[in-house]
Amino acid sequence: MKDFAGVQVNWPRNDYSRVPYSIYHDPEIYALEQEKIFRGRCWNVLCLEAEIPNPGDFRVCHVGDTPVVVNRDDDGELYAFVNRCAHRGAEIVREPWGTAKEHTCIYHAWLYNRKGDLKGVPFRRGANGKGGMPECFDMKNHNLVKVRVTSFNGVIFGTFHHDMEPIEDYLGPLFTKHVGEMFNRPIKILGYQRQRIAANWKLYPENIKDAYHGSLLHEFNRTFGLSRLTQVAGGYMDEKHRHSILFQYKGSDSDEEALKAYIENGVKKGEIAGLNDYSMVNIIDENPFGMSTRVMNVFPNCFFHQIGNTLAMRKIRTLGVDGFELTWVLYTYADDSEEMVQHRLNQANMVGPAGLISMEDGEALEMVHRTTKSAAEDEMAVIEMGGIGSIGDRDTRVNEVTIRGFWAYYAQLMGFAPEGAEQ
Amino acid sequence: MKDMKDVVVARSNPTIPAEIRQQASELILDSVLHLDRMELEAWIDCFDQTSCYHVIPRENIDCGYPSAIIRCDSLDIIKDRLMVLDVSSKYNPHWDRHFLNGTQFQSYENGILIAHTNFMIVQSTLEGFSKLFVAGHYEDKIVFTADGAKLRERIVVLDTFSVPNLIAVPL
Repeated sequence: MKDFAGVQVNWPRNDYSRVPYSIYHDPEIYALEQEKIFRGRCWNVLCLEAEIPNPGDFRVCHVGDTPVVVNRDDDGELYAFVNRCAHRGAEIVREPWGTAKEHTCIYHAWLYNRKGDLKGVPFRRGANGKGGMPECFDMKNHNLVKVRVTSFNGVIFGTFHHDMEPIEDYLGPLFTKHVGEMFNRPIKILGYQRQRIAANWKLYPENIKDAYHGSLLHEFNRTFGLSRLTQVAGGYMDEKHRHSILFQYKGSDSDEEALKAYIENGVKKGEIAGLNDYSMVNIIDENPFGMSTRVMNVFPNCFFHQIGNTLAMRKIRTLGVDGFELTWVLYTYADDSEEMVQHRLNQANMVGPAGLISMEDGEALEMVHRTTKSAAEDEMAVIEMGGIGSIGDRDTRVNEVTIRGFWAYYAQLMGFAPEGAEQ
Repeated sequence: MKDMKDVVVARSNPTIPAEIRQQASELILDSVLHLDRMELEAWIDCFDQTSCYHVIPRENIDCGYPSAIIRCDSLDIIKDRLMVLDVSSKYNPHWDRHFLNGTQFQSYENGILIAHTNFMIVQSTLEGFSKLFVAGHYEDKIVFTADGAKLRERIVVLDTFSVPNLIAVPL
């Protein structure tokens, strides 16, 4: 057993308004995260049911670093197992997606069913009376590592802890409401957008929980009122502060008052003159709560967005201490008109690695990662927007309290929260 | 992995006039040289008035999913994207260089030439470090106007669909 007793983090303030830069770079912390977070007591998103609609359909997903095969059996039930042969550890499923009756490891042809149970070991009894497995070898003891799965309105979550609380309890009422609403009827997958960002994975949930940057970094947002610090908005969390939702209402400020506020605050650049085609920034009213944008993080690896009329589940896969892959799974409702589908496809120009309001995030994260690598042990991020001390919801975008919520839950799970820490 | 959609066609398809092939090859090469030089106005001039430009992950095509990474269904939307890039987008400062192989001419019917061209883009930082950025192929529909050969449609099929960081400048 690897001993992580030596992993320490110096939190100078117990409200997490200071975050030591070393937390993004320490390989021991990264190894502990794989155990305590991704393989720990969390529900990780795997994929959407609509990605594997038919019996036998499978998809390889990742829980942190761990490759997990999610598939559907003949009875329609979902099963998941770690993609690592119980014999010698080879990768069993080698295509990222497909349909299969069973799964056979190419190395020695050990065969598993869709539940991950070992069903065949070639030459188990030897050949010509020689060799073979010992009498005591029992296939039942050599199944694949099972991942418990659950579907919440078609969103498939998995956990290595078979006694985890039900997903509704994990989400809490606020996220049961919002995630539930985004998946309140059958969907169709529109496709994937993927990017590999050379930054520590934790910078991404931080970015998603950072209401402050949304219209400063993303000037397109500001010009078209998709996100502005002058809007009616908020950053809310579940009671454990692990999940977050940032939301705002387009049209709750005027272009004039917004422009004035940004100029008064010394932000002058980036006034986009106008578009030749405004269809991209047109929002067709469909959110029952009136929100023009809402972006959620369900701790640890899962994100949902409704940005105008683009809908997506996003997930992260860790790629070592210095990188992660971000996958955007874009969808539409099965009962949408062809016109609405085309509108969502057109608005997808705003999101993903080439998104007009999202390409900047990758660059910001890589910059932070690159330059904090050389920081001294006592150099830290300052997270005070929206106030210090107690962690709670705020009705503004001039707010980073949700980031402190992330660190509070993270530090508890990792077992290195400071004495008397905010929770 | 075999690409079932790859139809093998000789480069020197004799049924397509040599002059047409020559004009198209020059257009395709010009289009990427404009991008490498960040001559974005000149790049737009490679397109016809009724053109579209899409960047599509190869996996979406394989899965039968319609969404793109960049989807410009008109010249206006292409122009908007470049305007936003110019005044508001922030991205990694870099130089691009495109490397193309020979174009495969698929067909020439009703004045429309269909041409496929593989590409690689090597990206270099301002500190002088280079690496392969993306690989894929162009599926072009080319028309021949009084102003010469123009792109009616460019579909950029991206093999490198797990994009390193971001795509700002068109591919």
